[in-house]
Amino acid sequence: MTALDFKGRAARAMHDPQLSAALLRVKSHFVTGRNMAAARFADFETLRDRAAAIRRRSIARMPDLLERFEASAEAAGAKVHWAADAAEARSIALGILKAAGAKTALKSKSMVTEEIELNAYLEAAGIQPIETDLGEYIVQLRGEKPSHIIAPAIHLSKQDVADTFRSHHTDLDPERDLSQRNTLVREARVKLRAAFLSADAGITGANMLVAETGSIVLVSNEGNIDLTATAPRLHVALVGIEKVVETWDEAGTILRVLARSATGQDMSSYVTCLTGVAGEGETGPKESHIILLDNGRSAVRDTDRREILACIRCGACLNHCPVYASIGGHAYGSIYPGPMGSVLSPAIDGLKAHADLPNASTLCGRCEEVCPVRIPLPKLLRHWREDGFARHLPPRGERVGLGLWSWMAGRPLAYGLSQRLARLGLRTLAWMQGGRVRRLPVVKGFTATRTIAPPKGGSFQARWKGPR
Amino acid sequence: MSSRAAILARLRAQASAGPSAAAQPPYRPTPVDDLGARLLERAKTVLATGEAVASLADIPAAVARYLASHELAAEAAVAADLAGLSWAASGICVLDAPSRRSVPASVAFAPAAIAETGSLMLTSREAPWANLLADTHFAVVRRGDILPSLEEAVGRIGGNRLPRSLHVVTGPSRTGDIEQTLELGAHGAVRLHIFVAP
Ligand code: SF4
Repeated sequence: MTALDFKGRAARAMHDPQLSAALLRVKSHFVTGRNMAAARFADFETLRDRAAAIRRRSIARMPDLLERFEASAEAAGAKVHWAADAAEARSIALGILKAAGAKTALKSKSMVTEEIELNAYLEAAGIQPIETDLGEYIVQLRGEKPSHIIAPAIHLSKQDVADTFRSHHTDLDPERDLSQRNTLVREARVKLRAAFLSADAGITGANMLVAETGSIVLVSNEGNIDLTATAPRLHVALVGIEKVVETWDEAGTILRVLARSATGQDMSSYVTCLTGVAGEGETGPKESHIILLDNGRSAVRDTDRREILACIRCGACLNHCPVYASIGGHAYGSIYPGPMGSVLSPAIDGLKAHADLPNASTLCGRCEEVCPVRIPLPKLLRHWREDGFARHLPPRGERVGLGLWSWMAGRPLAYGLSQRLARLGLRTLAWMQGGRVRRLPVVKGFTATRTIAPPKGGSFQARWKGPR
Repeated sequence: MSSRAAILARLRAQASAGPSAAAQPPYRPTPVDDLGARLLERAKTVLATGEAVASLADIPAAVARYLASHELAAEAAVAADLAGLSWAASGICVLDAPSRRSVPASVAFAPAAIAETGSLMLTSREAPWANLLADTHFAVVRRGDILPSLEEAVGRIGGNRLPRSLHVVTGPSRTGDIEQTLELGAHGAVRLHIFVAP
């Protein structure tokens, strides 16, 4: 997948009826869930304020907290590694797995491992990664990428899943009935149970690092993380350096906003807290490694986009985004889709690779309204747009258009005339096309998936000047 | 320079990287009189079930009733500290549960529970696997081990050293990964039943 043809992918996505139906479900399911969960909590807005302050405080004190985390984790028996970029993180992970003689590695859903494309790298080195989150397992079998940060297989129907299982689980009766969701879930449970009990290593991400005890905190609903991180003899966690908080009290507050914002649950079904290695008489691995990944994060901390580091990956900004709702996750061409992805991806891969992303937003502000840690996503997107414009990255048509607009905006007479002409033009087009504008000249793409009502009344300028 | 040194040096050089917001007061749920009742009420909202029992001795019969009402076989793996109860008298066949084995049902103490969210806390000290791998998980929690919040439960269990793993379990395992529709029993328990014991 390349980031170069964003428009093509977006257009294709908008004409995919199955995807549209799935995205409608995201909206009804996650949006309603989040709003109900927020309403059930006595004072959710104050809780969000606290969560926002906790994350900002953590970002401001990042170097101290990371060192404290490292000291506590190592005192408990884990080994902490630092990786400057994706390549270093991959090679550290592979080194650990090889040294332990691991041939198979369970994986729980982790955006960081997607970010560094760990699976392909391990496979090439002869180690078989097995995704254990149901959605990730399905997209792994299909050779696809996740399309939502917390619901990776959201773009697929149950028929797609049934077909995928039938073609991959060839040891099972080909005539079996896979028409029900619960039989699909049961089949994956049985298939993966065997893997849980035999794999050599478990690889996870982390939702938080708790500096005071050197613990990592993970959330899931399926229970796969608990097994991934405790059943095999070796555990490796890959975590972005921004995930650190200082105390359990802070972690508790973040967990309260996370599940409510993500799925509308008061608490994720499983919260897994891992500290060091298993001691005498304890179940669990005797060897545990935590790889702290920078990969552009420390650089973005030095810019006016640093607040994106406060992100707790709840997905609420995707679920509430009208652009995500019409194009889905894959069209973004980045493993982090939606508003948070459009701010984070250029920080990780460089703006050149994702020049379109800061523009893949209407700046309507819904994302900021629901973000549990109050990240001003539209403002951060605008900062990237300014950067891109200054570096001559937006498409030529837009540059010419914006240049023309700024010339006119400085000349009231010309501006007023152009506005009057545009209103007249739109009304004429609407009249010719049956009441609404269905096709525009020059910018045909704009009307490919929407129509415009003809402008009513005078211009904004006229109304501003007139009696108020 | 190592990556560790380089990353820390870069972060430290960014002296102005955002104002350090003030430390936040810890959140604590509104106090309730009966933590046991609160736990069970919250657990029901996440599709677990539960009941208060007058004594541990009542548990085998209650397990038998539950299994019968769900048309499940009268068998369960039982943790060592509950093995002394009269299981045979209640018609329950106690399964031998070597570690790393999936069992249809499992009965064990949860060393702590969280009233705010209806959650149980399992730890690596009690070999939590049987419970994570069972289709039906019966958790027994003593009233004195029910804490108001997650933070307090971590504090209680941790003491001066946290176990290698804490598993905060809120309701049965679930997934919405197929068409956003809730299905129970993805990898962990399909059914979760809580006994609040004195
Ligand atoms: S930016 Fe905010 S809303 Fe979006 S995923 Fe991150 S925390 Fe959630």
